Amino acid sequence: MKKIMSNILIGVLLAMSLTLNVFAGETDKLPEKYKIGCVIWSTVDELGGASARLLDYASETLGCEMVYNTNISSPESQITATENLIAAGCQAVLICNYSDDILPKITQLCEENGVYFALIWRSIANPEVKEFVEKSDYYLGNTCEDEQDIGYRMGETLHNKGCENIAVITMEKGDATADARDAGFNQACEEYGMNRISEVRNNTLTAEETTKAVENFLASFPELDGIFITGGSNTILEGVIQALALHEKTGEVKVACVDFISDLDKYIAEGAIDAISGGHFVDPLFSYMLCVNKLAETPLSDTCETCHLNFVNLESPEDAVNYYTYVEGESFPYNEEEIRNMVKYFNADMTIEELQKISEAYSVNDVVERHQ
Amino acid sequence: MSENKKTNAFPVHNFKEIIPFVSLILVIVFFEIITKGTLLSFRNMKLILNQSFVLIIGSVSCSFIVAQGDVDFSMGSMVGITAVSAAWISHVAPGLALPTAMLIGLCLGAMNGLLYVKFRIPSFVVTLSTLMILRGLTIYIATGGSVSVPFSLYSLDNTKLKLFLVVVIILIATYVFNFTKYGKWCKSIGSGVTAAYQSGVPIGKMRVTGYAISAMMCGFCGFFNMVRAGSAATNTGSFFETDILIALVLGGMPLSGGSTSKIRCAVIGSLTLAILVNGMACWNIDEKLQQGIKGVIFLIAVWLTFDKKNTRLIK
Repeated sequence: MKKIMSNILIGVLLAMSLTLNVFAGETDKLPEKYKIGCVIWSTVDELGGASARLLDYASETLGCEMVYNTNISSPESQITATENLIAAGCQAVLICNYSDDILPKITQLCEENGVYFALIWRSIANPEVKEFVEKSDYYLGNTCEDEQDIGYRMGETLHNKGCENIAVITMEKGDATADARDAGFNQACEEYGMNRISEVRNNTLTAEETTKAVENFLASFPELDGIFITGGSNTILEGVIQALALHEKTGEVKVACVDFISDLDKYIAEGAIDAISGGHFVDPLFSYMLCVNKLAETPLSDTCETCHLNFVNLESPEDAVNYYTYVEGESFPYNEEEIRNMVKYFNADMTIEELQKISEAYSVNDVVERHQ
Repeated sequence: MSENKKTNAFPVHNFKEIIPFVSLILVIVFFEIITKGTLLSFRNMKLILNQSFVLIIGSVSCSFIVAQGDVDFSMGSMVGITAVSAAWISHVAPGLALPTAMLIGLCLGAMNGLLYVKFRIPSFVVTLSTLMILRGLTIYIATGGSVSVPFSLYSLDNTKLKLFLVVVIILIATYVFNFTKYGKWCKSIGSGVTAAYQSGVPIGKMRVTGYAISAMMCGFCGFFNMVRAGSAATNTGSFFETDILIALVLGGMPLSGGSTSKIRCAVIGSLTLAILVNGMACWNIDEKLQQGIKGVIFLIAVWLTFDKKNTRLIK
């Protein structure tokens, strides 16, 4: 009899715990599975891949769905990519726009279809376009970094390391981010009297092509003592490191780069990289939050908003190890609870100022302090 | 015995001709089912027309070159440079943007043809060279990388206008291709240049005009690309030539040219490609898989429609 009673009790307890879990699970998710699209250059390179993993993680946590479109080789293909995401039923779209000039069309498209949109890694520089876009009820805002400043700081670091003749590897003119970083670097060159001796502009550089480009620099300009890469994701930085190692120029020709790659601790320890900033893969998360909050009918603001993000600078192998351990490794910079807290539906105290504070506080130390 | 052979050969030939059309139908049916009716919704069909408009016109105009057994790898750069030029002109005189783009295209195309004919440089070498030269020039004239378009021109990105234009252009091209001396000569050059020459076909003139007309229409495409994106940039038209070649192959156009070339191949192929891209996006298929799937479909299309007896592709 005792045995039967204890079995019944265990059964009841199990059933209760299961029921509680189910209910707990339900309250963990948003009331609707919102579908959010993302127009991005790639989801398989270092930067794009890390961002996509973070957005997928946030979507899984909140009960949303992410869809990506990476067919964006030209302005018109970015329009097509946005149209296709809207056709696929996305209720909001995150866009890494090629230039300001396509934004009026994107705005029209989103207004016609009643789809919200936010920019990632971008701010609008053209005042006419800015006015047009910000007037739209469907534009929620953007997340951006100070691209010109990072270019300037890279140039300054190269100067401090004794560089005078620098080659630049960048994108074809028109890419808003690369152009801004390049402008900042040029400003540093002018201020510190450094020579920009050569450049390679290519949007689709591979590691092999980069190696060849650096070999050409070395052959043509024996005075070369620095290389600045405006965007080292997509194996470009690896190509530079490889070329310098092949020609025994590691450490002699200084390398400054924006965007992180894997094994940075090893490269920094070897002296293959002299200045590197990145870690901005979290950028789309804040624009994503603007969209999620709006879709969940708990908007953080009635107007479009900007979240600012700082670049992470890695100066020692230890910095790199910490970065991979806490920020961009197996763990994410924001855990499930922190992600849920960014949504007003779960956290009534969340405001746009709070979200902006979170984005501005982002750094390796910030993540370590929160997660240690 | 010989009659038997003839009756056996006839259905195979016919089968090959209908494969692209059947493929288009299959692609439509497949995506209509898989996207639960989204594909053929009115809104999405408008989208497909908008997305395939430039591709259809580019493929149709390129057919006059391909029918002669030639290729044009510079079409993407042609679209880029004409779009950027039109964008600059549109700030001064919006009404002149389209004629300017088409005129620049016409001149550059004639230059391609002249280099091919007068200097006897193979067409793929000439057009590969101009692909690079024109892209370089585009970067130079775009200065800041991207040139915006006045808002007043946005109204030209209009579905009704595009539908009208695409129908008119297809009808004109079909008429010229099938019922005029020019179209017949194009195909006769593709079938055999020596025979065509001996029959009195002006080979040189035909080639120059083929490239000129195709490039002029690239100017037209460049203008509408510019209006669609609200801007023209250094990479406007990137991979346009690849898309056209894929569309032509999907449509069953023999890349070696000749009498089996048809305008409908360009139209069917462009629609198939546009529906594939749109359908996969609507299906929410992992974007990492999309490229692979497109590649497999392309390979199957080539295997089914490519004339294996005539493997000479480019001159």
